[in-house]
Amino acid sequence: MEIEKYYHKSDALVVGTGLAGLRAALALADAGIDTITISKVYPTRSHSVSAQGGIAAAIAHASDDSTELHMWDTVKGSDYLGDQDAIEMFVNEAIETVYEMEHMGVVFSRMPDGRIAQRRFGGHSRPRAVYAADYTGHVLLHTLFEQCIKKRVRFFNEFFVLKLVYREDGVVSGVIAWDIRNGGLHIFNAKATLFATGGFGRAFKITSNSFANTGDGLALVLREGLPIEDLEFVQFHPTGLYRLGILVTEGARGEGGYLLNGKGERFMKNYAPEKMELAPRDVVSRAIQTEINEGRGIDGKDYVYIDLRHLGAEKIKERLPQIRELAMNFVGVDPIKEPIPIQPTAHYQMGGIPTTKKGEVTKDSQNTIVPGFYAAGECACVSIHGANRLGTNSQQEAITMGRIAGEAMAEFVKKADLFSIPEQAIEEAEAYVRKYLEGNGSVRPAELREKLHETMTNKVGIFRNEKDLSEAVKEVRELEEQIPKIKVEDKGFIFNLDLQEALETENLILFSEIVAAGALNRKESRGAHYRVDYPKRDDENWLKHTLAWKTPEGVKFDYKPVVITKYQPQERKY
Amino acid sequence: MKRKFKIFRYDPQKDKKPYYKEYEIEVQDGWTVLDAINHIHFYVDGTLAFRRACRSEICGSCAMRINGKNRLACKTQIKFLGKGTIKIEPLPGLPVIKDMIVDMDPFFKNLEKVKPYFIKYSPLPDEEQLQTPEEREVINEAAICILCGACTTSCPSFWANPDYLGPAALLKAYRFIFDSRDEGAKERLEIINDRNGIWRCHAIFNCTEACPKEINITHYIKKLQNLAVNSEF
Amino acid sequence: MGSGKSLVKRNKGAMAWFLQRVTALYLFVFLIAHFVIMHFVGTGEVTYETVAPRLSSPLWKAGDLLFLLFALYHGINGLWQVLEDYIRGRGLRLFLYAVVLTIAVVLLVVGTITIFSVNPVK
Repeated sequence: MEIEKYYHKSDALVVGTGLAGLRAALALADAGIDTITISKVYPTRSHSVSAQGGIAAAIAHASDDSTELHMWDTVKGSDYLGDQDAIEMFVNEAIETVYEMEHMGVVFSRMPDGRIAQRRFGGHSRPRAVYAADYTGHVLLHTLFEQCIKKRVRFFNEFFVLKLVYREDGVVSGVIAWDIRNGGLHIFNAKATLFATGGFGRAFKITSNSFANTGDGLALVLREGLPIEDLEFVQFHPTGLYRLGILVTEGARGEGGYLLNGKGERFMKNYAPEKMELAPRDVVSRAIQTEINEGRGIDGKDYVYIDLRHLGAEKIKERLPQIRELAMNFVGVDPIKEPIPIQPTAHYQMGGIPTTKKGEVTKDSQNTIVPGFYAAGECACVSIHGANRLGTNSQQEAITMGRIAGEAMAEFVKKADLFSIPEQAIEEAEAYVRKYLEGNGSVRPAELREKLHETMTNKVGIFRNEKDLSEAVKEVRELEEQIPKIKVEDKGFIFNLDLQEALETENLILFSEIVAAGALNRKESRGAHYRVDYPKRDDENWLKHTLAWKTPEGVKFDYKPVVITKYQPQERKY
Repeated sequence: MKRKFKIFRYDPQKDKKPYYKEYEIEVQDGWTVLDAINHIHFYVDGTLAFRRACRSEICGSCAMRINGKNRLACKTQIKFLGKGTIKIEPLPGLPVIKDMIVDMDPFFKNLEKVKPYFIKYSPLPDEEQLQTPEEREVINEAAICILCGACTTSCPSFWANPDYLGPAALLKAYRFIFDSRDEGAKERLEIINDRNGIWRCHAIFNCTEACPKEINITHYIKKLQNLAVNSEF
Repeated sequence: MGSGKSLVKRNKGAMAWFLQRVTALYLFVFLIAHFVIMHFVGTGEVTYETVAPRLSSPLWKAGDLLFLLFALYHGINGLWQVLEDYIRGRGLRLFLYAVVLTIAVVLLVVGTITIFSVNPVK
């Protein structure tokens, strides 16, 4: 069986076409840099499109907001694990990002005087979320896609990256990808490569994430012997549609929605008496899970209600039309008349590929830069979100860091040389797909994924403990041993979904070990990482970032300090 | 409950021509068509191919023909499809790559023709351009198009004339032409004021019926026709 | 924007769309007038003596001629669009265009002859 090879050269390469990838591609196009953009889906299918509630910026249209307050809220929200120099830069750039997106034509919701409207969101002390009804991610993504059309960005849609080319001399010189549509290996050689590959929610059974969110970027990096930062911090969004995990925006609570338990109580009064439903996500998710675990779910079952009825039909239709549609279509509930059944859903990874404030990827505790390699968006860890991300900070981070990383890349490629792609890398990538196309396994990818879902959801969820986590690490390793047995029924080249899923499953298993091992390793509770056996935050021992490497012997850890500039850690109360 | 699915199959590497294959599977309450074909793909026949991503009606990947109508598989509840066999086919009017996967490039190429991006020549303010809620309302519905292609591929005028821009591209043109902040109306109008533009629309209403976001596309194309005629005569 | 003239030259479809609506309006008004005249104004028996003078008046002839032209345009343009929408094969489509055009020409000739063959009673 002959696998054709195709060679491409460009100055810059962007992998992933969500908000971060497209914004970076646009920055590169603006700088006149020859750029290729690769995505495993058509750009408008990227999961950024599902973001609903808003994008944070202290433009102070609806209050006396300031960048200092935005910074303070983000630092506190991160449970002091966010790097404060990065956060300070971020909150300042955020304002420019909003106006710049508006100048590109985004249809933000407006106040009667024509200025951009803002709404409340969890963990933010002021109404700071700039939004477009509950379609914010959609309008932002489509707008960036439109601008990329205008700037004639070169898209390679439906390509699956098999290998990051990390040369022996420590330079990244491109990627090798599989053409999903026609088959064949495409070798993309570039002076600089950006990963904007998004999240990993598909490691969990109940998730808000798209089928595409299989953390491919993380796995590609780990496979090259590079580290991942803080991956144990997984955000569970409090309100996913019951059983499905489909997102019900935090904007629903921002607009005034209540959370009710089986007794009809607004139980948040017991957990965050001041902020109530608008406490940060880690707090609200733990509250919901506690209610469920203690038998106060609806009819004693594993869900609670979000009640929007008191907002009235008009407000629901104007501000939350998508939520209404999703609730009616998927759980048969009209929020105007009935409360919506919800449960926490795996939503976001705070950790990721470690980067500098300019999006340059680093590889150790000294922040040594990997030349030619950049990352932005959910797959990256700057770290702005620390141990817990505030709602609306992620769309903001994706666009802002996409722009900053794109600009940094543009500067870099003007001076950089093009390093070749070693023949060995191409051979490895080819062997990687061949093992599935020619192999004769017996285990369907879906069976392995199901087992992984059980492990990750039951043992690496909202509440964690030593016993569960050790078992989880063991179980994920066992799954890893099963990878060579994966059965790919489809042996064809053309749109081989079976092959793609085998590759994705391998990726899921690879980084899941880092998540579980990292959670086992971190013996404290901080932000979204809650250890029942270590329920307190431990600043003395654990006010530091985890760096984790995948080695044949297991996961290797190192640490790097948190950058603290303005705000010293204190008790976190809402 | 057991349900039967009759699914369009075509793999150009193996098959001389397309055929239909039947699958019978146990369907759970609350399942959508996407859940069913995922199940078939995961556990019954790994060679089945289709696109999907968000599974929540917003990414536009999984538009296909279900019981003869263009719909999103993720939005279509099986219990609302009657009792008989459920027939699943690719979107009509676009080249089939494999099974339910069609080549969307012609669709996106048409979109690119209408200058589907914000155009502004006057200097921009430091902060936002003002737009009242009433001005925004005019384009609110058009701006949430998910580019799934259900509309364009349901239009007989498009089937017979692949050069027709199609409802999705025209809707995008509307979204910008009627945006109170945009300044590209004239140049866009010159493009769509064409036999293969707005005048190809004969108000068949298939697009409006097919739209999973329930956008009244025909209405917006009529608005464009009115605008074009008013500026012509 | 260009003038109506350049529009026709470029054959963009706007003129066809516009004329379809203008002719529709004329047909609508004309048919109502026809209905009123036939059933309410001109009661009494329909004989050559009552009808011939009406049909031979130049004004009436002009109205009828316009009706013929507009109805033909409206109908043929409609058929044309249907062919464009539903006939995919180029050859078949061209053939049907020819058939439709031929019918149109025949109807136009026959209709014109009919209108002008009724002359004032001496």
